[in-house]
Amino acid sequence: MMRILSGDSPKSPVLAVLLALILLALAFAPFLFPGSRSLETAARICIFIVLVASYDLLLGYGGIVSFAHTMFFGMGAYGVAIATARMGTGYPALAVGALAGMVAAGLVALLIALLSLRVRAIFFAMITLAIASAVAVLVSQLSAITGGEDGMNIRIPRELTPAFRLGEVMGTGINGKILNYYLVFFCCLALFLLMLRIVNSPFGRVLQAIRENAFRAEAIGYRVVLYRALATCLSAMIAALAGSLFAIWLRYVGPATTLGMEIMMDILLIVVIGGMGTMYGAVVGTAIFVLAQNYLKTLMGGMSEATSALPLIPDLLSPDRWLLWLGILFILSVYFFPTGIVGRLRGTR
Amino acid sequence: MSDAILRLKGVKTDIAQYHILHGVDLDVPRGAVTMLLGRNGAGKTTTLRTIMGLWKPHQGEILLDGAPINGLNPAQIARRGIGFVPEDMGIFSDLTVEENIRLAALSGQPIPERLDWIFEAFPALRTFWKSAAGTLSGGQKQMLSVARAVVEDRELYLIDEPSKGLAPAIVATLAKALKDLKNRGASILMVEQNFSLAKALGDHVAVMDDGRIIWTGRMTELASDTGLQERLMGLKMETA
Amino acid sequence: MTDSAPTHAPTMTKLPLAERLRPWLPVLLVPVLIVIGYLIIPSQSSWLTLTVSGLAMGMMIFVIASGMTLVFGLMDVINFGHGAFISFGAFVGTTVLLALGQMTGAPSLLLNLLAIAGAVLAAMIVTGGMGWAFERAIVRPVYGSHLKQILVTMGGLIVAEQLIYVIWGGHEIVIARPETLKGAITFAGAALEKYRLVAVAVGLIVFLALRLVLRRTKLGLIVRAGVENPEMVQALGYNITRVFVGVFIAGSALAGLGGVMWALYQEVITAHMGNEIMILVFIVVIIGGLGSVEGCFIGALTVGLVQNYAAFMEPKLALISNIALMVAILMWRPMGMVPVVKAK
Repeated sequence: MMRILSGDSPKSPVLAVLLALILLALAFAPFLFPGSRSLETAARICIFIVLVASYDLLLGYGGIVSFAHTMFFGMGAYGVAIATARMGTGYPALAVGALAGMVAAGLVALLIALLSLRVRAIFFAMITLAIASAVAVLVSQLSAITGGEDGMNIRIPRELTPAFRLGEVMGTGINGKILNYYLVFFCCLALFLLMLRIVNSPFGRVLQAIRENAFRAEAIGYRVVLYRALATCLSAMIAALAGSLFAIWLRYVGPATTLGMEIMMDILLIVVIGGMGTMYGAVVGTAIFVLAQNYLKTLMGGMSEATSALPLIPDLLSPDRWLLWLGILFILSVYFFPTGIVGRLRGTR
Repeated sequence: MSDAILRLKGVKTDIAQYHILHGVDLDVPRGAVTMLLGRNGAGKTTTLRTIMGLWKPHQGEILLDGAPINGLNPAQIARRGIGFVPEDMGIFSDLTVEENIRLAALSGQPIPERLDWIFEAFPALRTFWKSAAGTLSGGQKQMLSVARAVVEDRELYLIDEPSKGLAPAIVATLAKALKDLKNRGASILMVEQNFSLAKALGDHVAVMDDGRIIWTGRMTELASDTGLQERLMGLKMETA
Repeated sequence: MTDSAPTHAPTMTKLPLAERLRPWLPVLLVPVLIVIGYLIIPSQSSWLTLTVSGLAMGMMIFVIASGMTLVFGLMDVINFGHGAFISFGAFVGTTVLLALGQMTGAPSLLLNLLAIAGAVLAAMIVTGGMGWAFERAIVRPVYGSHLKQILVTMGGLIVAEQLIYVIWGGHEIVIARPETLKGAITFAGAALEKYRLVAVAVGLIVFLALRLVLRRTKLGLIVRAGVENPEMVQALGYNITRVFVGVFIAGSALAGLGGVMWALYQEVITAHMGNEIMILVFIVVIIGGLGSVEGCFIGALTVGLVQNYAAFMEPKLALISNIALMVAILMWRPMGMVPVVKAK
């Protein structure tokens, strides 16, 4: 067990129970929570765990803020979409697309890293923001390749669609959608364990040393820029793979679902609330966040209607203002809750 | 000593997680030069920076003219009347020599009489009055740093190793200027590694080791006793 | 003892001509770019129109970016929420202009300018006040930690942007330019929009005023010294925090001014306009050299020109061309065109 977790135990009984619950719930989601909406939610949680964890690799372990993470996520998604559109439906197209997206993300990340990190780490945040925004604009303009604002529908092999039926297990009909879910689930599990291994390797420890004190790490003889660039590449490549899975699952890719600033903010918020630099924070944070998003929006809608007689309050409580409260929560958690849920559960400050 | 311009009582300073000062007790007499000696890492620079408020002591008290100044910010401490020449000189290289000096004159413009004195002591500053301070040589920068501190009368001057890395001729110029300052009745607390300079300028001595004052006395006492010097500073001092 | 003072001249005079020119190379970038534009743009009149439009855009970006770069230079604070001040400035200014419809609609230059002055004043007061609150509530607790600064100011940006939706609703607002600033004048066969000329003039005034304050006043002296070594400025007896708050407020107010200018330039405003402009602002402060007002000015004009020339040649490449510009300049000068000297 400890070997699978790369020796990184949860170090808190409550956290261990939480993680086990989330793992079990996701592993048996199709049987525990039947219905397509809950399956959507479960798949979303799986993919976001990987996406957020790959961001945590960069932010929590490397101490680098990037605003291009959704760009890399999008690269993987668009890779699959474009490959399928060009090569025709089939597994080779999915594999080629995912691989191409991953390689492209790695290369772009390397370029950005080498360009900005050799000067100052904060350049990275600004440069990634500029580049990611420019790419998002470009993607919506180049409609011949990317489908523009409308995005692209992806025709995936029939075995992964609801049309493909296999029979019944425990009263739940097994169809291609469920196979697709397990493809997503196992890929995400493997990617998460891989990241756990990375952060607990000597490489991960050097990264943390650099985060604590870049000057000292450089003085001891570590090439700070190189380590940070490598972390950026790894993180981008894993984000791209998560993007590919997302595209295969949704059978659709568009600027809003993959490249939007809103998703970037979700990622940031989950990392901070879950606990930066813990990996497990991504799991707990994502699960709580995605569930809260689903139910709180409904709650806000109800509250907005209930207060509709009052001035201003209904506007503030409207579900469209979800981001307003998220932003406030975000600021407060950076101030008062910097180690996040996992940090609190582990009793560190 | 009853007439101390500056008094440190049990001052403890931490930098990050390291304890640097372990309780410094020191009286700096008025109208005299006190030399702060000790080996590298003894806490001399930290003591000056703590007095200046650039590092906050977590314990102890610092009194300037009987009034506590620990807890004030560096700007307030400077305005209480402390002139500071930091170890790295703290020159604004983007500003001209004139601008550096003008900035140091808290009353607005430098007093002409003071300027004349500065120019007499450091003629190079007059020559490069309008040049960017970044283009000055190391010695000229040190002169500028001292000039900045003395552009107005201060209660006390904190001077951190002015001779560091400078050629003997320049050290001589600085020594003469500092002697001049002393003769005007200034109170000075100075860190110095160059013992011959310290001996020439100092009236009193405080020796530090490991974040504490381990010996205080008159300079004449220390200068005449090589055995004491060796014991206090662990080094054979040049007694040239 | 005068002879013991070193008499050698400062190193500056000993450098060969090429070395002495090197710091001035960035200044040449703008004219060189204009000449390149002249060579690649087929029609002379379009070139002139595009150049004026590029300069106008550059000036507006400069007005917005100058405060941000100084805030960074002084206290090492990076404010990702700067875009909020642009949007708020635009919305407040537009609201005032719409309320003063009588004055903006009248064919009198004086009345039009008065209306604009009122809008600008209101916008600057609101954004300046916001800047004060932003510094207090959001930036102050996270001095010294870039990571937290980026996160927290980003959060502040989102909250501010959402407040715009709450106050003004989610729709874009159309705002026409005042009567006498509509249309264009013809010069050397090229149509030059009047408003763009005004924007260039305002930007130039802001730049010159900033330079004057920075070069000629004690406050400017403190700010310039503080950019290099804030600790020493403190030790000389100046409360750098108070100066910093002042610069933060001024910078926010300037972003508000830029927002009004931009609103009248585009004649339409949206809640996320600040974010879009911030992309260019980031490029400008990076290539200019974080902390340098002069670098910011040169960078802004360069970005404005490249944006307009590129949009004329191939509209889709406008934004990408500026990214390419940033990459090229960072390869040439990793610290930006006018690198800022930092003690430590």
